Amino acid sequence: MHFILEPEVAGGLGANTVMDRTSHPPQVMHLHYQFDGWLGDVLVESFPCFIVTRAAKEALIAAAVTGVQFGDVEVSTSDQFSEVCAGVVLPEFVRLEAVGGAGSDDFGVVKDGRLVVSERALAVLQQFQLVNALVEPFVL
Amino acid sequence: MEAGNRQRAQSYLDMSPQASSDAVLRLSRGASLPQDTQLLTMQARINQINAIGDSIRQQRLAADAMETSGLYADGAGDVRTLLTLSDTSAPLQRFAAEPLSPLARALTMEVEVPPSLAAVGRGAGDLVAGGILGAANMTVLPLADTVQAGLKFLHGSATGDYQPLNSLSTFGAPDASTWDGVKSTAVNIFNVSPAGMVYHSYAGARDATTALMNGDLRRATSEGLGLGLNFAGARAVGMGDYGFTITDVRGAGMGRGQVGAIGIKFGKLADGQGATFGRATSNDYRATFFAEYPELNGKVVVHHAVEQQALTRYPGVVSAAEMHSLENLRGIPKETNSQLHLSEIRREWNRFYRENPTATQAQLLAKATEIDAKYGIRFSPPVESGN
Repeated sequence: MHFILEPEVAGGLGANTVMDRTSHPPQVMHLHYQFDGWLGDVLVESFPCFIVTRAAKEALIAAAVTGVQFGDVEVSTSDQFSEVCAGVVLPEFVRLEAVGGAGSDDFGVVKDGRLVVSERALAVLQQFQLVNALVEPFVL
Repeated sequence: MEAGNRQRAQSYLDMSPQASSDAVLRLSRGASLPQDTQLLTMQARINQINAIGDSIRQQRLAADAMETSGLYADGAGDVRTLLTLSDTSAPLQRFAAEPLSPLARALTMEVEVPPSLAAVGRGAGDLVAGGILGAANMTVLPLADTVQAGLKFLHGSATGDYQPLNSLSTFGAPDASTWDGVKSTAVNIFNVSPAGMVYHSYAGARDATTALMNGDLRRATSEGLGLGLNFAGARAVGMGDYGFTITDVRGAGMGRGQVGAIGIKFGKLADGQGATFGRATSNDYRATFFAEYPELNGKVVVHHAVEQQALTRYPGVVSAAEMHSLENLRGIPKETNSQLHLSEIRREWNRFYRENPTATQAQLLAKATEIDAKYGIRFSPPVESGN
């Protein structure tokens, strides 16, 4: 069983993002994720990129999930974040790249860039906070 | 239990064709019908629903009066009537429901809902993002099933009114020959959300769609499609003077019988409605906003209607002066749910980015207008119908 997972969108692509827009979804070579808020989920998105907390990453690695690799992300916060999340200290985030087959590996993306996760991977993420993500069954 | 609900719903429709569709909806909610339920014949239902819709529309029109930008109708809307009303306040006209065409009738058959689709179906009465709901039982024609199965997820219901061999262009909008790949009769309104969900309203939208395709609204529709706007909860501003908002579509699934109601806010749009850009003299957008609304300083979170990241995602489409202009700024009261509201808006934009590899300024503003229509009442100052 696999699921389409639409994570919380906590912010957007920051000005330092470097991407190739000649394809869609665009290829993001350097991800600058600027938080405008944060409801606390360990996996957040800004199309076409996903980032997870380092703790969640370690749990995923420990579970030996497939179809995922991790990378660097530049994180910043906006003025809006300062207003709505005053006092909130963000945990460390890393970039999550779903490179597996959608519906076969634990992580994959469909053509439009939406994330597909296995039940197992979802369970790992749900060990942490993942209450703002939209989850729907994935139909091949 | 289920048979009892079906019987009650059937009896209710038989006995009270003018009754509120909400009552029918409640009945259907209690029905918990199985996927293969057969309940109402389509023809009788269409007639009944149209009658119900007329009744509801008249009640709503009387109760709500007119809003400045148009009419609010509920039920089996006949937009031709609404168009007349919006312009002249003429009395309501009643249009008889059209019978199924021979082709539609020939194609009408019942099939089991594929488990893959059923799995993503919502129960009767589910509202989806404040817009539409799906029906309990998705009974689809094989061909329609094929068409829709290619559209990722189905959150609506489909019944025998499909004429999957005919495209929308058949109905008078040659420039709207494709509608996100869906082929349909005029009976249905579809919308494919950024998440890939198909929003579908059934009989209540019957004449609305026809009119949208055939009438003066064609301009609005065509433009709406051209802009990639969604119908559900969206507000389409046409090339001409007309626009429409489908504010609330509700339906209930009862096997092949779908009871639907649609709320349409429709009318002639005043000049200048909808989100716009101005020109800022400073990039300090908060200063710009609070200079105009000093009383809100400290009380609202200022955000951009068209998000700042549009500068990164669509280089050259919007200038910094436009981005930070007062016209593009919105205030959300600092309250418990402000962050949640902002998160919802970000999600809307994220879906837009996913669906639009490129975007024009008009498309960005149309999306901002759509979001204003959905969330603007929560803003301070409120934005109720565009900017």
